[in-house]
Amino acid sequence: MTAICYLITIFGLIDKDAFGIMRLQFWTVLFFCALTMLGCQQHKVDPIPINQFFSTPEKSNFKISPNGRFIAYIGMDNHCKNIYLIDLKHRDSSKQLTYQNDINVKSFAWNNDSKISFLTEQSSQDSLRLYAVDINTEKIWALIKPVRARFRWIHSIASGGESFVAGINDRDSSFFDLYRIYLDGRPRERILQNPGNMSSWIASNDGQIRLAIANDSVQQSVLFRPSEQEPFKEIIRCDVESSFTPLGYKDSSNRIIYALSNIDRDKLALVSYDLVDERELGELFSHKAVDVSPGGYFSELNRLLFVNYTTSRQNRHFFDEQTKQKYNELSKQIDGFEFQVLNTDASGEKVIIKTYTDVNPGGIYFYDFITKELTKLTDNNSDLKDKELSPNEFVTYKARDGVEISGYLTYPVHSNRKDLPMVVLPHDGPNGREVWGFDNEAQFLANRGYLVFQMNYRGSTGFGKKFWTAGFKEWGGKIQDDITDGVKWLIKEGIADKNRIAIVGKGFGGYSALHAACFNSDLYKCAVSYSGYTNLFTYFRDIPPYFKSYVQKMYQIVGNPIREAELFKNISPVFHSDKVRIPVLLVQGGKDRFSSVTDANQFVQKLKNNNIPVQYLLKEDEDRTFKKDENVFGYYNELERFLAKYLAD
Amino acid sequence: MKAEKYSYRKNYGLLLVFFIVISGLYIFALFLSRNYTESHIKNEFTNRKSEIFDQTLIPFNDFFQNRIPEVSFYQGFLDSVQAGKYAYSILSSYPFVREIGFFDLQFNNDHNLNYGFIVNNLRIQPKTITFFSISRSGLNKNTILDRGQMALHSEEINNIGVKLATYIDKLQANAKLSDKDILKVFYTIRPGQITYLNIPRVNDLIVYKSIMEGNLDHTVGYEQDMFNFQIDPMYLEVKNSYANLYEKVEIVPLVGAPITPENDEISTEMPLPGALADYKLLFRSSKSFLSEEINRSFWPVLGGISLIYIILIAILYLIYRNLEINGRLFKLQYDFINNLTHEFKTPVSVIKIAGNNIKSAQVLSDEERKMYGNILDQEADRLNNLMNKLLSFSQIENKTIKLNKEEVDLEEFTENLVASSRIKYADFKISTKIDVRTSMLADPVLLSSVFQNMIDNAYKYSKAGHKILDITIQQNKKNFVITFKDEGIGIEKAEFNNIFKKFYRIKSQYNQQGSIGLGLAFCKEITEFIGGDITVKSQLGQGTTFTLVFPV
Repeated sequence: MTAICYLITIFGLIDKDAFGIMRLQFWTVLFFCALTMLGCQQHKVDPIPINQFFSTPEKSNFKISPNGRFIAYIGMDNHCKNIYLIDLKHRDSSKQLTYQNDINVKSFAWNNDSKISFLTEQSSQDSLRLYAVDINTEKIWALIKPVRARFRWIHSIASGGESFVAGINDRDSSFFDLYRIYLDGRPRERILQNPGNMSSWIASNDGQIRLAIANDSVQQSVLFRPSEQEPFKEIIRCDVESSFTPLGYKDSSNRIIYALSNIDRDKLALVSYDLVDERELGELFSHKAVDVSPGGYFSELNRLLFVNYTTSRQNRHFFDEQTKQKYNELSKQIDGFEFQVLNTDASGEKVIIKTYTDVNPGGIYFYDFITKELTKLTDNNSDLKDKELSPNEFVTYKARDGVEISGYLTYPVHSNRKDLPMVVLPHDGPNGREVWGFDNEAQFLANRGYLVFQMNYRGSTGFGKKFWTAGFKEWGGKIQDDITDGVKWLIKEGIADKNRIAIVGKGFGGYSALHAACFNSDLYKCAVSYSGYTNLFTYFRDIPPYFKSYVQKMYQIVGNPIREAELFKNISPVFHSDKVRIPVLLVQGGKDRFSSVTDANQFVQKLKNNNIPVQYLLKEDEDRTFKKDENVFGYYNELERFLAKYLAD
Repeated sequence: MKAEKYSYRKNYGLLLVFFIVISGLYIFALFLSRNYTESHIKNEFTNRKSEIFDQTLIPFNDFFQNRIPEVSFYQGFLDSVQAGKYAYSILSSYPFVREIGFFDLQFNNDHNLNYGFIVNNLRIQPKTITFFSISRSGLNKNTILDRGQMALHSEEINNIGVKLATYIDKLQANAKLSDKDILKVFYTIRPGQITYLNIPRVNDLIVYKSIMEGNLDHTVGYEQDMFNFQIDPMYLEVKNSYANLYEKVEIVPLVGAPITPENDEISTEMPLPGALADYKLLFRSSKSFLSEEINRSFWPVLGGISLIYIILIAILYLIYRNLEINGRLFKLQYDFINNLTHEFKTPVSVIKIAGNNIKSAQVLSDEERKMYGNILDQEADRLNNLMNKLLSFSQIENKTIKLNKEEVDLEEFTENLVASSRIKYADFKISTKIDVRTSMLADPVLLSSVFQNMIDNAYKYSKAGHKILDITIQQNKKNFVITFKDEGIGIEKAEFNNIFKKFYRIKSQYNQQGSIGLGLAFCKEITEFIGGDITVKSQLGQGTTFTLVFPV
């Protein structure tokens, strides 16, 4: 813009008219210039404060009551999380249900139309406390005696009005037993003693537990019993690479289920399955490129309304025209926003949805399919609602061996899309994938002027078995190559400035960043690891020896630390700290189970000895993912400063 | 006495005192600096040892701080093959590590295995113990699988077991490992050996605690690794980076027969730390070795002080020379005034006598009147001449005179001068030889005074009856060359430079009167002022030739 202004100025000056006119013209041009420059200034995006990107919403966990009349949610009162209630019929009788000022409500569930049970905790190490509250009388009573254990909601609806089913691991902390918990405060009753291998259960609509998932060894299996009186029987056994995930029972049946399965196929497909005959009844939907994901089955209704699958964006496949019409109407109402159905009432006509786009964090809405009325409950992040943010752009590129890798680019707003400083952001996992949607971390970095590159390297999930297993034992190998190839491709395309590229990541992404710092110092200007795995031996140590099933799987995915110690040594950054040539920011939580502070200290010390600029942010009280706002903001503050320092022109 | 105050004074005494003072200072400074150098070197001898100490310990510190903790990177997953690779890299790069013992340990609660270190339910049992050492043929490996054999090495396991059990006994659920704990629990440092147990994650330690307390109802086994490093400090390489200070630096046992320093030997020592603690670094130098070093570092100081002294002496000499020259100049000017007075005195006294005679004479005859008139006229001319000369000379000196350039026909110009000189000096034989093509551009008045001076000098410094002067004027491409060659008394070669100086006169019988020593200086000034050059050639008793060169 400015360059054009200068040109105009020059043309103004060489105008051969009378002096006075020329001068007049000069001033006009100058004025014009000033105006355009002012315009340019306005186009430059102001940095949005970090806390606006990463603030946690005040209201969360919106849940509609089975009869569809009330919505309960967790809100803040006196710096503590409490349960609030919205009465949809009489809005003015909406109220706060709990008044706790020294402890937080962790989670809650509707048991019936008038009772809610909830968990409280002060810190994650707290003992288990379970209470119930009556929404009419606001009376609160304890449901179980406090124990040092963890809790899992299994089937919260009190079938028969008296009790509900939950998992508690107080007998052995490594697995959950199932208990019937009585709403009147009677002692809990163990209904299922875990033999040690069961990891999850599906309740039938009568509240009985007939279906369980077990992780025996390398393989996952599905167990079934026709009634609670009979023993479980293994009906499906998957190999390491395959999975079979039951979604729920079909309508009121107790033998037909919907499930996502990739047994004998590459991509996860939606199938229906007969538990008694132990056979698949047929494939209801599959996609040629990606796995089908859950999201359209509602246990409140025992109905499958649709399935989701994510290509470059999320798509929905409906099974009947009527539902499709209903949801299309909803789509129209929220105009341009993508949405997820969070929960529904027992009729399925009243739903709570979460909306979002790639540039708008959206909000939580209540929608009534009958009145077609859309009510906003809260904004997901009101600070960012009207800010100018950058769209996610879907890209694909070919890795060196020809495998097609997909990813997303988030450009800084109003950039010329050439020679941009770039932040490479490999996702955590590696089990997981990037999807189209609102990503506050990417938006934060784009807002600070960096092109953000996120890719689904091989080993990412959602693209089928073959793509996932291609990442096995390729940590620091082909997975790292996929990242490198993407960066090289963007440099070749002239989009990324080859002298200003940083690699930033959390967990596995952090591991990739450290690996790049050790072995690819030429490509990157600096590296940031947030809870990155510095040492794969330590990473493996977190798997307790008695949890053999998981170890076997990890042997497949990463490798065997004893038999393949050489491989482990070759790909663990802590052994190669002397190869690092670029500045590193290392962020570590003191309670991270996957990487030890001792390893991180060693790594940092070695870098310091080699005069490599290194910044070390150690938060003793934090886990792998920082929870406290001050620590989260602290990290992003440090990240911003670090990148600004080393990615400067 | 008062008059002396204003006379020129040369106080050589002051210079002498100055000379004595600086010489004294010089000797004093030398003495001080020698003393300082000596104490400096002795200080260095005791202070520099810490640098050698640090340098000597660099490999050990690297081993201790970087390589030992590397064991923890493997988090207990090491087997004897991998441990061998690790041991080889340690043994080959740190010669002071003589032997490495690798204890492949298992922490378990298996009640069927009753060996090893047992505390409550926690059993620490060696699966294998392997000793590694290095020799010329490579890595030597000695694996012990037999439990009886293993028992011989139980000391290390018991040691670490007690420490670990004490530590985890007090361990809280959300504890963290401090650096102090790590050093206290996982390192066992004794003179000659270091034992290091892989540092487990805090979560593991908590599991060990629950194993110990019997809270686990199933059997588990955790892999752990322990290393024992045998260290011999004698294999530490000592780098004597101050070979100038220390004749010998060596590692000797801390205790043992103390080496009494021989009479002519100085020594200092530093005990080694940690696992090396039964040895010390001993630094020795003989006295003669140190004094050599003192001398070596004293030389530059000596040079510096001497240089300053020499500069001061040089300044002293310059002051002395200045005094001398000024004194001579003063004497010259004094002489000049003397001469000048004398010069003035003669005409003035003649005029006075003539005036007296006229005053006292009753009658003046015509002849007398004519004679006295002539005398007065002549003497007045002489005075006038004298004053003109002085005046024009100072004018030329001050460059206040202005050149009045005209075309001068040298032939005619010379003949006129020669003719008048022939009238003036009847016994003077002047011959001329003039060969010029063009006329010369010069100030005729100034030029004629040069010529006149040359002619007068030739006459004056020739013996009576042999007063001969040859004047030749030649013209070449660039210059007019004019020579005045007489056959007079000549000038000594040593005087060639002096004769053109102001007030300088060669002492001889020929210039006892009527000369103030300005003639030739005046000629030189004028010649150079016109743009020419004057040189002299002469031989004592044979004659003198002055050559004037003027540009065309």
